[in-house]
Amino acid sequence: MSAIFKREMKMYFSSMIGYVFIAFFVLVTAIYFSLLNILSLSPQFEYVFSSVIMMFLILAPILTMRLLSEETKQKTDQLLLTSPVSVTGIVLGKFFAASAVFLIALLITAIFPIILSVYGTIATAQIIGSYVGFFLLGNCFIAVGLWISSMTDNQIVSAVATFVAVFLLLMVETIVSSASGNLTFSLMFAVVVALLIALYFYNNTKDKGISACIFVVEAAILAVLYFKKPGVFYGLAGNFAYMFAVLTRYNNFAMGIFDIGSVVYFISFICVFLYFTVRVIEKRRWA
Amino acid sequence: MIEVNNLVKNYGKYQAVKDISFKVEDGEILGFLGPNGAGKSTTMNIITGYISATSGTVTIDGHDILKDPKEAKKRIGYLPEIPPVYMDMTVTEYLKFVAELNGVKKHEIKPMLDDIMDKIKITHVSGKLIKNLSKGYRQRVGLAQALVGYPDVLILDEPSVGLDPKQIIEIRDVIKELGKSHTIILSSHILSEVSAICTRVMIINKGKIVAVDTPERLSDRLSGDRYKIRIKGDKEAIVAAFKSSDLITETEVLDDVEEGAADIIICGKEGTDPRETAFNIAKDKGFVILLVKSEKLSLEEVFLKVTEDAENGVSYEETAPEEAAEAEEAENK
Repeated sequence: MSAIFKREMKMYFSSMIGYVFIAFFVLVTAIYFSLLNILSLSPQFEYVFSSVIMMFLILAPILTMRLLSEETKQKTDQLLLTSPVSVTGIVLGKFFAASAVFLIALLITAIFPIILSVYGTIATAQIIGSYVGFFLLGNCFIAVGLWISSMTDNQIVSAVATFVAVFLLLMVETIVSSASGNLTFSLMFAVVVALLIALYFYNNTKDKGISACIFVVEAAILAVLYFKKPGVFYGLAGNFAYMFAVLTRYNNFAMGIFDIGSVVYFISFICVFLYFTVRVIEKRRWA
Repeated sequence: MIEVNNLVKNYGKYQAVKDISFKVEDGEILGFLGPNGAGKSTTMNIITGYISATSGTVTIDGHDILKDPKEAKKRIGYLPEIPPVYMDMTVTEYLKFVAELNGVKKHEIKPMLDDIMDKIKITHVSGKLIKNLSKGYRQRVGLAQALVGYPDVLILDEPSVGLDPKQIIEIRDVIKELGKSHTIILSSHILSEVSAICTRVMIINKGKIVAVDTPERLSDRLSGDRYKIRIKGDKEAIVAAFKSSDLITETEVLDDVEEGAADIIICGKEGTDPRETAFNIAKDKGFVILLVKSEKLSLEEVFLKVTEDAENGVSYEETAPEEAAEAEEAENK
């Protein structure tokens, strides 16, 4: 794992990617810092982070797009997978490298609250909370990006898909709050999930008949529920989607609330996506 | 020692490897031969643990590649078809990374890499970025990578592809040298290479083993007792005399080389020596024999014959140990 971590770190800083990432992140943070703190004479640094969050749309793909896709493309995964290193070790090494570059960029921006503290009083707890939350949030996006990168051998596909995924994660709350009470929406959501289950089954068994049967059974159950007990559908889509509302969790930190539940949530979110990544690589070997 | 048992690999409905079993003893160099798509690379990828078999087992020195991957993989050095090199690293950086990946102790890395680069003759390019190297040198870096950690077993997938003739000979010598201390499996399209390096050849076609033996014996067994003879005299009379003999099963007329003499290839009936028969015929008819030469199939011809026969349902199983010993004894006499 450490060999992979070291190589990835070297790659970030021997190519442009590491510098571009850090420069871009610090620049954007600096712009918001000037606008929201210096020019508007406000000591509330956590607003800066809340504004920078949108930048993850670009930052996450930059960090993760080539991590695993490039290995598949250059066939260097043959070296990694035939070495005495576990797949988990490979994935963790890559994840920690991306995470470390993010941490470096984040530490550089610490200079801004320090500047603020020289000229006035700052809400230390809120700022530290923001940093912890922001770091965890960033790692969630990195884990998602890494997972996407493991599924393709094309960097561009990986980057665009990561962009879309981060966008959806950021928008979940907005979508949920406006549509969760709607019965038709929930039903449609349930049908899509049923379809996905059938497709997943088809992908694994390549048996059209059984997959079709499964979908028909699922549709029948949904129909019965819809006419007999429509109450089940209320909030169904909303509750499911809420599981991915990373932004809501982050807002707790920004308010200076150090919520252990949110920390656990973030860490489990990261672990789940890293586990998915390991599964994708393992599955390719069995295919 | 490598032990492969009942290996099967399915890609969907397509069966790439059909129930392959074999053993490679310590210090042996086994050559994989087969047309494109025969399942050579797939088999190698399974042995090294890159992909998993549908069923069957692979053990390296008693360590199962699936149940005990770390120990098994430590013992294998693998050079895949396309050398798995990182274009944006220098040769030294890359080999150092491989050493760390293999868990080589820090103070052992430098002497090990110096030794390996010296062996493969890439010391003078050690500071170059791999993307700036020619295909031949990339191939060598790939081979060097397989040696890092001094594994007991080397799996080389077409190690001489992309090298110039001089380099091919060098690489062959390197592999032969390595063969003294390693167990090696290598695959190749170049048959002369296999017969020059390998102690044993395995011909695979359509995912099945069609023949296993030493290169010499394989050629012996398939060609039978074939001799080229040159006889002075009237060509038609000679051919007619040989064709009418019961003891000669096959007569093939070749183009004339010498004025007034005919060149033919003859095959004797089982249990007879065609040289003797030829002598007797010549004595009876008053011909003069100028030349008798054993005519063995080259490995190319063996390969074609075996793969064709396999398609027609004929198989060449490995000779049983006793039989092989007898054959060897007979040869020595």
